[in-house]
Amino acid sequence: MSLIEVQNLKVSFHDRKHVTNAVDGISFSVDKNEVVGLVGESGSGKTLTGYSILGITPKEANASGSIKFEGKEILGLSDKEMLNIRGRQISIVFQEPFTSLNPVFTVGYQVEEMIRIHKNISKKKARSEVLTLLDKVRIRDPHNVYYDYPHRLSGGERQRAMIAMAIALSPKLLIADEPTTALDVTIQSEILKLLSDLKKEMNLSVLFITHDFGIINEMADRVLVMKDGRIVERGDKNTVLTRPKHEYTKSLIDAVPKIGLSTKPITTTREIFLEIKNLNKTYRSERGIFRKEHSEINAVKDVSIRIEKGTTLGLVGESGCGKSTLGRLILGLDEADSGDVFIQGKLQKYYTRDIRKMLQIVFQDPYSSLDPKMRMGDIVLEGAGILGIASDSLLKDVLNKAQLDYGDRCKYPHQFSGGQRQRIAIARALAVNPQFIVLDEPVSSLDVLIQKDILDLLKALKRQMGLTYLFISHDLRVVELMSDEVCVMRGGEIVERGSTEKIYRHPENPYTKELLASIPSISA
Amino acid sequence: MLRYITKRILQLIPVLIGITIISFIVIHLAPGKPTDMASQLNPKVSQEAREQLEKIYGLDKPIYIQYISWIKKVATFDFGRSFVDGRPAIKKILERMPITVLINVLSIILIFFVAIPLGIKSAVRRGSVFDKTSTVFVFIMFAAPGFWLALLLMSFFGVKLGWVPVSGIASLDFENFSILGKILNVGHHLILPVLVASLGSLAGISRYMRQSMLNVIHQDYIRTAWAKGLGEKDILYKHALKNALLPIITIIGLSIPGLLSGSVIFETVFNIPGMGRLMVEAVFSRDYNVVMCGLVISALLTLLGNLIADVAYSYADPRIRYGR
Repeated sequence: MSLIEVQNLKVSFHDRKHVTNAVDGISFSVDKNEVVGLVGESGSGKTLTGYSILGITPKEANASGSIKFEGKEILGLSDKEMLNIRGRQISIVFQEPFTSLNPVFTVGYQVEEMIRIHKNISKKKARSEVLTLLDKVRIRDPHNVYYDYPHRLSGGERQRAMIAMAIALSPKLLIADEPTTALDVTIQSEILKLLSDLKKEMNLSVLFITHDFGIINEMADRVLVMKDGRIVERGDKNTVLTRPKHEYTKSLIDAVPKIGLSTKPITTTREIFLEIKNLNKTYRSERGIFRKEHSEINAVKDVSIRIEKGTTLGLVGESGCGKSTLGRLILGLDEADSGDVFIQGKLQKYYTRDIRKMLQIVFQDPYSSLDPKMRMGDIVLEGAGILGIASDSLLKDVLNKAQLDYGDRCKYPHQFSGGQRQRIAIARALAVNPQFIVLDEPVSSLDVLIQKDILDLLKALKRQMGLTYLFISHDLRVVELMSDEVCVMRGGEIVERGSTEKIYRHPENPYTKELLASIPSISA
Repeated sequence: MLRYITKRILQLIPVLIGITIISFIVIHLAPGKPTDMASQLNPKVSQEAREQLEKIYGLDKPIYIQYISWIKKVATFDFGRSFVDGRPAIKKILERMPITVLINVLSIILIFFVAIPLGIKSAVRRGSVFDKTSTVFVFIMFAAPGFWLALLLMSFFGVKLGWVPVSGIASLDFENFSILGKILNVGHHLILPVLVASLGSLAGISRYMRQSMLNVIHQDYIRTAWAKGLGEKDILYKHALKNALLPIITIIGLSIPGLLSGSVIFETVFNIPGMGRLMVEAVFSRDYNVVMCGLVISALLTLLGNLIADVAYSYADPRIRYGR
């Protein structure tokens, strides 16, 4: 008998007119001691499937079908009846470590609560169990973390605390819902290692939800591929990865950027577009009312780079390494403490309007970087309007370049998908006819297939318009696809630089090697 | 913590001085003088006598000199004497203050114990009959002018049903009661004023509470609490409530000045000898010293109220208490 048996599960949302089947009649099972990977893009229904098992779908959702846990039907049980299953038999690790812990309770309290809900033991005993758990998930300094509030921990540490909570009662099934998507690549590989060690040690069964075939390759025994609420392909991991049958699976696997394939020679024009010399930026802050803390962060330390006209410089590093700050300094959106920025050989002290229109930026988050109250056409033309060059023909032209529909110009941002919104951000940058664009993690919040489309678009635009890019990302796979040269940044400094081929094939710096080794890859 | 509070109290000083300067100028700009009652309106008083009177009060000097001599005296806690009856201004205010403060404190307590549970219940049972009725009720309370509501309540509960007294703070034979009797008597008189004083804010704050609770219920950490196997009660009243209360602390702090200025209305309507009514009378007779003294004290109360709210907020939110 399988541990969990899902039969013809449907989850639908009703509003006045429409019924949307977010999960559309899927069946699968997870056996004891097995890791099943559930792969799909956002909106495929994979997370809702996980939530249905725990009975924590949104109130508006209607679930039907059958979910049997150890042979007992659990779908449709009341909250009260589920209390004994949630946390104790089946637990979950969520995608968002930054918001999944309650900010007003200590970490120790929140893990302890999990134990005390289900077990009638003394506070003292529960506390020692929590400390053991925190140690088990390899949190440094469990005694301090126990009394710390969540905001004092890093994303990786918070995720470890969530895992500690999830395994506290030795559940039979662990649902891991994209547990590493929000984390840096080196932290991701540590968390994946932790999960697979715990799985072995505790004989856990795991339903691993992810969009990343690289992670599936490292974690899963069996794979389910989900699209639009249905399972389109299933099978043994190796079979699916090496001989995918369904077109969709093939395109998903193809879209995962592969690493170490770069062979293109650098095409130098020998004309330097941008040069920065010895740039420094330190942020000072005073924090805390009750215990004063002064902190200084050297966001950018003595950084010098040059970018040749018509090339792309990739800037890669983990969150907090100063890569976004560097981008902002180059554009004059933030002021450097010392150092010089030269654009086309000229020292830039004050960014005049003429210079600003040459330099543009596309941000990471297509959901929050567009004004929700403005129409798409107005967003795209706003910069051009300031320069006095806004016109309908310009709008048509840039929308065409960004592959957007001119007919959609009166829609608002929320009416577009994530990928389309990022196209709007690109069209907005193009509208002032720039020569240089800072691409600050432009595809990090997009699904793999859309990621590929946007990257292709950016490459094509670069060729057509002779653009120069600074491509900032934490994803080494994407950086390799885009860049002619690469700089690796850590702690505000550039630790290694060179041609893309050199960095990916013959890295010298130990940190670069560590980054490369952390990437979950398909070809293993 | 102590350092923070000391710093905040020191910051209050320039703010308070600024408030006095502006109030001083505004009240002197208003047409009319405190001496008008005795001079202008009395045709028998000669021009010389009028000027002499103004000289006695220092009203003939330029306004900035008047201000400087006023603030010098205030620095020694001397707020001058009333132009009307010659009694010290501070004394007049202080004897009126307790009843006003009592009514305001009682209203804040009432707001706490009614608005917050009401908001929570509306949020938790969103869209239910309870939520809809309370929404309608609360909006009527919010929109209704205080004095009109006061009159309506007076005529219904006081005159028609005769349940509560409609004016004053104590019965005529107050002196003959025992201590308990006195407290009950004052309490009985205060029911309507406290109700009227709090209804407007109560309505607003219950809406904020409802919204704040709704926001929190959709947070990720509430989903975590469900996934842990916690019961609904624990989730709502432990995990959600603590977060939802944070913004309410600030809002209650901000509503203190509104309550104080509301005192003017209900004290007049219910004929309560409080600070608000004294202030109105002082303004009408251009009794500068009493007006300024009242303004300084209510400004101080407001600023202290906000300070307490800020301290309470930073104490309640660990993200502020310990920094990032």
